[in-house]
Amino acid sequence: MKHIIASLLLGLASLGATAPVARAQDGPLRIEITDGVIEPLPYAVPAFVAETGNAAQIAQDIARVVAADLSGTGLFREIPKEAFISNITNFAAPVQFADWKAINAQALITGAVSADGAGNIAVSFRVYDVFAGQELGNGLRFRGTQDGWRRMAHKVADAVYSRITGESGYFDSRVVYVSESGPKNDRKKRLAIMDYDGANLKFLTDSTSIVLAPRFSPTGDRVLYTSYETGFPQVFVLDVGSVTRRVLEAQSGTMSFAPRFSPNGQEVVYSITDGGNTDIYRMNIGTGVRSRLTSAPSIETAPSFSPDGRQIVFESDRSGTQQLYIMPASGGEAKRISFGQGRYGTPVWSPRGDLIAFTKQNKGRFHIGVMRTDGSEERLLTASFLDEGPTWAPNGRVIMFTRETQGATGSASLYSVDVSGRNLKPVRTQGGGSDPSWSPLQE
Amino acid sequence: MHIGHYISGGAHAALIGWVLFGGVFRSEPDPVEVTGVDIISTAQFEALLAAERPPAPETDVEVPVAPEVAPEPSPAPPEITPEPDAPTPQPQPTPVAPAPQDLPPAIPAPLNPPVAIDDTAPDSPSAPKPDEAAPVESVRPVARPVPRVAPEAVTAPDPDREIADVDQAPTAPSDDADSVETAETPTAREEAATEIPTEPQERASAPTTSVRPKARPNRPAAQPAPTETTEAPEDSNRDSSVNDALAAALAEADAPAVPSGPPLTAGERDALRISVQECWVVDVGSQAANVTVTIAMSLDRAGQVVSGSLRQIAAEGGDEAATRAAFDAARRAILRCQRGGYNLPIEKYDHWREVEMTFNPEKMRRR
Repeated sequence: MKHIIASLLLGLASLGATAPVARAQDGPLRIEITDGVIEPLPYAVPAFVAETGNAAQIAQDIARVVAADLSGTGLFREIPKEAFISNITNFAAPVQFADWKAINAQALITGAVSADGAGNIAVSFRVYDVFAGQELGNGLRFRGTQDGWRRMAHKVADAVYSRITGESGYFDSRVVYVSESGPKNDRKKRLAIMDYDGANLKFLTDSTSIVLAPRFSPTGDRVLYTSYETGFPQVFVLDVGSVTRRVLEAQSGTMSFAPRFSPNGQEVVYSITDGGNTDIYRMNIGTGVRSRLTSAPSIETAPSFSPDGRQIVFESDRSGTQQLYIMPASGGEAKRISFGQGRYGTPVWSPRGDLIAFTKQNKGRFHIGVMRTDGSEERLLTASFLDEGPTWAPNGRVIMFTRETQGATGSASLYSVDVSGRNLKPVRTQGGGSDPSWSPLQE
Repeated sequence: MHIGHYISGGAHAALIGWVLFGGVFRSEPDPVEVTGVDIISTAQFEALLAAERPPAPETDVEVPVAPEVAPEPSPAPPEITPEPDAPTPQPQPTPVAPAPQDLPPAIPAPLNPPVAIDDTAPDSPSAPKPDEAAPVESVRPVARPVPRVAPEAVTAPDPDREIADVDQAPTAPSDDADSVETAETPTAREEAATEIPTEPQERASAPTTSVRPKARPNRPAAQPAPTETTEAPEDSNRDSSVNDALAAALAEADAPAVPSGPPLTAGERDALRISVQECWVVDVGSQAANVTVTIAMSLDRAGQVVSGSLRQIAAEGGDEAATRAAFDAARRAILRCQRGGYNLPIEKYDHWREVEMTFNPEKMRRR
């Protein structure tokens, strides 16, 4: 009996000694994070260092535009300067990350500006991940004329945005739109072009005739638009640099409208109404050769190319209500992609190629929405008395559109919204505005 | 004789009648919940829905002041002012990079002074003193049922304080007549606990080993008796060997080189996960929100990331730029929320010395 008890004790003791080892975890501790927070990322932009005495003011201005660009996205939140513990006085000096961590700045942007006295300036900048204690990418320097300081600021902001989000920016871009003035029953409309943030406004046409739906070319050097200057709508193409224009479709007795460039900029798709029927056509700008893409007895209009140029999304009422369809770029069988309640129109393919923005009218309200190219995952981003005419930012992240208020004194203005539905805000324009078209990033 | 029969018969008849008609075996009906229903018209119903309908998904934003632009040009076709020379990005960065020796350390000093951590193992609560064989009462903290779990325990704020990210003491208005500043609203962080209250777990102050039973004292040596056999010394030797084996095994079990204690519990793992996710900022509209990235790191005993150990070991769902952005966001979350070190049980250090965290934004994309 004693032998048995002793053996059991020995066995238990042996188990007790080995049990912790057996319970020890094999490999590293593995954690999966599926919840996070959605909030603007705090960043700090100390005043850019003026490396020459005559660059002090422009250094401040550039830093302000950079901050306005970043904060305007809704993705970033600038930390006020009053909270700074230290400042940047030497662009090349090491950054004291502890000072910026103490104010919870997750990103730090430093810069320096120099002017040569002959109207040329140079802007250098760096972006730091404060908590990682390291620089994001390498420093860059832009050179240009003093008149172009805003573009240089936008380029700095684009680079910062790209380094933090992993996507290209959209700040160094322009918007062409229809500037509106006057009462609703006698509204004057003319084409206007401005920076994406409303600065550097210029007018491209006068207000003697109604103009509609301008569309930038893929290179941003030309604009297609519809004008009533001949008495009925016709498509024109305008050279932005020289402000010269020519009619694109001059077939008498027909109305042409809703033009849009192909991704290579050599062709145009648009609608022609002939004999009461509206169909979509495609024209080579260089040769003038035109081909018909649809031939249904219904109304087909608002075509928009996919970024690869292989497909076209358009609106049609062939099913009895206005819906969205996709067809090959050479024409052929179309596939309906919108099946929700209400009417869908003005589809625009995202530059990323993954989404299609559209206008939706349902139950007396208008919406700007997005859906996958197969019609799935429809999301409505806005709702108002009248929202219409979406256009994509060059990086496919933001949508600009027209919002019109109700009543006899109602007016049209431009708004923008993030593709996630956040950060809905008006776009700064002089007077009213409608039909915006966002340019690509400038070279 | 018959009187007894009559009494018995009468009693039985009464009993049978009571059973049949008295409701002895009739069960009480189950209580039924009754909800009042008002019949309203369609117009009233629409009015109710309208009252409860959330506001339209838009934000009232002040219309900014129109920009000052140059006066309108003459009716003749306006001219575009010549574009300024496009600033030419330089392919190579021209700013002089700081000398390597001037660079700050990769992982700078934490914001808050780090909590002093003794690397030695905690004192065993069962010091084998012969007169302290009674079990030692644990001093582990009691987790309170607080709805919010945060890296730092925060006591319930005063009701008159506004919930904010930081504590802000009330400030009195300035006596300066020129000052237009008003007193700031006192704020306080939301009440929080460091662990999920539903699973109170062993913490650093808890004992790492249970009280071990004392070894049985050696028996006094038997007096040799001429009539005894030699079996008694053999038993004594066996007991001694058993005790020696037990002591050796227990000593081996307490050796610090071997991982001790159970693995992290679900509560402890969740506390770490929640600590990190509170700092994980997800840009749901970006391409990086399609990327699932896994990061490996080493933690020191204070729960801080060992400098240079944080690295990406897997990623899927996006291109190189999106993957880099996803990694940067995950890294910021880990480094920002570690503060003085993640709150992990020191006695289980061997179980969280190496950590792999997978950041999966799929759920966030649906928000």
